[in-house]
Amino acid sequence: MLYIDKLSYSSALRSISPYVKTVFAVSTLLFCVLLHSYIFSLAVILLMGSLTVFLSGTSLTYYGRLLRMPLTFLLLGTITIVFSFTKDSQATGMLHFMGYTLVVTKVSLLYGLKLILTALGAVSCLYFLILSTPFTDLLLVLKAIHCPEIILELLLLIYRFIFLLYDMGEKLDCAVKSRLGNRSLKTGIPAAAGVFQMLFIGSIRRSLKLYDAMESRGYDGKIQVLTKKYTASAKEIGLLILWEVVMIVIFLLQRRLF
Amino acid sequence: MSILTMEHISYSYEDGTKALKDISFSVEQGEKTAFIGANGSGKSTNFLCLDGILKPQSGRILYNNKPISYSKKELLDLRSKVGIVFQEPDNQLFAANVVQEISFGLFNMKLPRNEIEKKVEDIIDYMGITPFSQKPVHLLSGGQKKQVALADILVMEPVVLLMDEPVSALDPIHTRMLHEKITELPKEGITIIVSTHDLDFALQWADKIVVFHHGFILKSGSPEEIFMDKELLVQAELIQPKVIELYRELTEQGVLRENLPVPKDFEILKNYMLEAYYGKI
Repeated sequence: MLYIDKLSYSSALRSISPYVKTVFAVSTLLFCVLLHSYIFSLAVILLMGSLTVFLSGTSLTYYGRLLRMPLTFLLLGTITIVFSFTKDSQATGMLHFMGYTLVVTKVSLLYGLKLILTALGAVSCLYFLILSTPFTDLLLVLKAIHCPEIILELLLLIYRFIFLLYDMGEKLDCAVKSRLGNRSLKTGIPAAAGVFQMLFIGSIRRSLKLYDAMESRGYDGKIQVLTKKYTASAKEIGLLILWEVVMIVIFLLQRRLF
Repeated sequence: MSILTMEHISYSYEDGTKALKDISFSVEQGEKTAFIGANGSGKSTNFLCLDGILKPQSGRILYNNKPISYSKKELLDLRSKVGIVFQEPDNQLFAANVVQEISFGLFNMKLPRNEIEKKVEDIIDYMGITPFSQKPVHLLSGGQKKQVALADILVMEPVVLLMDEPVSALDPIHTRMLHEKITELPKEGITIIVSTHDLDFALQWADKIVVFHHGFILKSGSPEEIFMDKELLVQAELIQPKVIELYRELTEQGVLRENLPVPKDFEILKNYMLEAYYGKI
């Protein structure tokens, strides 16, 4: 997760307006789910993948690793859809169990494949967005769609605190290991409990100190900070509209033809 | 004219720890003051009191000869004029990226957006933050975080700047850079109070030294007066700066002639020694 954050800051697409990128990724995701077709999903995976790898600058190996994470989950999830039990005594399956037969039908197999492709298509859209857009820019998008102030302020603080806590946790873990705290389960459990305890106390103390520091700068209940102003170029907007039109046409064609 | 005054301030934390006991001192406009003292002697608590973040149980604090009333409006006003740079940048920086972080105080001062943009840009340039101004805070090094922490406060153009151990845990380059800034800023009229363990720096920089010990002020005075008083330093659990120690030894041994002014840095002492060896140059 920390590496994704780093990549988003060094992405070559970082300077492109986050609004354009978000509309692009989210609309493609929606069409991908709505169309629910092999070809379109595959096309989306390839498009988003190549945009992320070739334009945004994520390495192919890392992108592959990222895609594998949901893939395991998806495969496990679709097993239940692809395989089914039937009571039909005529069925030829692989496993017979108390009168039931475990079967795989051609329909269920294809359906499972379609599900995996659609889900991966959707995931690749989100990967494109988070690998090319820093979190602070995503907050701008949330602000633009009128997300409540309080949630935005909380997200800003949480984002910073994730890294502070991660840092603290890493140091504590290192301290435990350097004193052989992880030698066996017997020493490991109390050591882990100690780490969690310190993290909890540490985060409270940190937040109190941070509050003092914010107060000393005149904090009066509202976090306001300077945000970057993005303007989308005509070319970006043009491409975006073109892509949306293409997707709508595909959508209409599919509904009429199939 | 004194800009900040503390009169008989006492403060104890909720757990009963008495952090400040009957503290009185005043700081003149443009004066360079250094707070010295062992860990836990009350320096940091004093800073929090001076900014109105902690409210002392007794005594009063005057800003511009006017007592602080602790009304919300007046506190905000005080905090826009008295700024603290905290010891640990991680306890001060809260925003996701550098520009956001620096602009926070200006928004609290209710300045117009274009003015904020201009000021943030200027301070980024002044503090040498430009190479990492687009980075998120968590990807900065310790020294860079400290630069941002100082920029946070400087951008608000404070009248008084409180710096809590500004060079603790910094590498030599960042230490030198920060010391240069601390030396530069008073020339622009900013009154600075630094709490520090770097006594060599306190000796050459400060106009006035305040010695804290267990929540009391043991003594305040000129750097010469404080650092020549070896008994005082022992009592305060501090060590005499090396320059002063050598100067004393050499004067006692008769190597240096009597009544030379107390040297504030190595360079001056070196010249004394050269003069003693070669005669008047």
